[in-house]
Amino acid sequence: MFIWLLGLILLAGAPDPPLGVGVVVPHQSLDHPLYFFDRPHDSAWEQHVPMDSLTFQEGPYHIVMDHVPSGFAPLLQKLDYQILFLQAKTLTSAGWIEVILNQETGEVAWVRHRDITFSTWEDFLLGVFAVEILDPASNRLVANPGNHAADVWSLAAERQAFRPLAIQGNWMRVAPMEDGQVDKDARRAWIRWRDEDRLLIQYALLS
Amino acid sequence: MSRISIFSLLLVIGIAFFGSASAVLLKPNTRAIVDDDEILGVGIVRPRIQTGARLYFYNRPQDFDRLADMATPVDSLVFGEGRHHVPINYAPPWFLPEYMALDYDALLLRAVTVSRNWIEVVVNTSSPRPRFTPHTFWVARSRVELSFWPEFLLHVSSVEMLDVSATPLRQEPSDNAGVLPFPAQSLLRPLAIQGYWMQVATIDDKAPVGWLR
Repeated sequence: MFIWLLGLILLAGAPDPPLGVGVVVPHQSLDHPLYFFDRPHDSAWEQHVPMDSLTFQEGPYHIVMDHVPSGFAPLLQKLDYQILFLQAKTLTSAGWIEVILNQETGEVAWVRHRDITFSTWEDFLLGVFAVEILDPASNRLVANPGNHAADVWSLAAERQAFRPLAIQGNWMRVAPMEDGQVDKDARRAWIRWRDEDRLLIQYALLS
Repeated sequence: MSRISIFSLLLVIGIAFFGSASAVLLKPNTRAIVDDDEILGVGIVRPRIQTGARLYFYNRPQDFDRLADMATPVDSLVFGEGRHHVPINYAPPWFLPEYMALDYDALLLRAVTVSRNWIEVVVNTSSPRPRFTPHTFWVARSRVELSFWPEFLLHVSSVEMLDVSATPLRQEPSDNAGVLPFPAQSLLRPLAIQGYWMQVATIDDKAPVGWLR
């Protein structure tokens, strides 16, 4: 584990529901609730009644959630760092995104793309502080992206934290980290970051 | 891990995408096998097409966190000034992008690898590629617009399956879902994307007809 990450760490594992398409960040606004709909609607969004909403209010130190849908259990929540992520399951051409309201049950709702910020998994993961391989035995560190690439033997098994550098399809180029810093002398390697339905890594958002 | 079958799409990009009244064809080499990630890449890059603009090509950055402004380019693409559209004034001899129709303001490069500051793009799509012809170079991410595959595919006019038998139309986005008959019309409109699956409708109907890989 990232024993060098003190206090601030947010370590998230592979989400239980299918991976979907990315991550949604609600706009944390006191004036604009995030509305959840039961399905995407064709037109005239305002004419449709949302099934629930997420509202925010001023807290003593930061914005806090006021009303949340029953059973609301998002992908990541740490509002003192303004962190609130929902997993995006489906993206539509009509400007709707299906989000997972409860990571345990897989309960979903639809939000309007204009009400949130959407990141693909690629962009989201390139912005995290560090990643850790879930199963190092099956997900080897290799010299090039591809199942038949040579192992990077110089990276010892005790190296558990890596800085994401680049993504190519299902592969991520990583730099080994030591005590929270990129080891500039260590060789870079590639790991698989996803298969069809799951993340093969866990990630730390903060240092 | 369940192996991904062929994700083969022939993209037809039409009015909505390029603001043109005639559909233009994106070459069928968009065909790729997902397991062969270096072919599929991560999406499509559009350089900024402006008079006088330059798109610099770089070798693979030694430091991915370094900004492109601090690196030395190996070559560039230079846009000029034309009467009706922005032409290319200079392009490297090896430049053969994924798709180019400058009279439609369209120049698409396939993005192979993405990092925070850099994108590796295919600069020569010929196959077989002549000897000593480069395949990819890197560009500054800040100088282009990147659309990851889901975002790009949701905004094309239509898609067509290359191999219907290998990728049947299904009721749900799952290999275990029931198989549906393919509509007579081969051009399909993307409605939604969920993981490796795309929900489609026929071109002239809003109702979804099923899910495709």
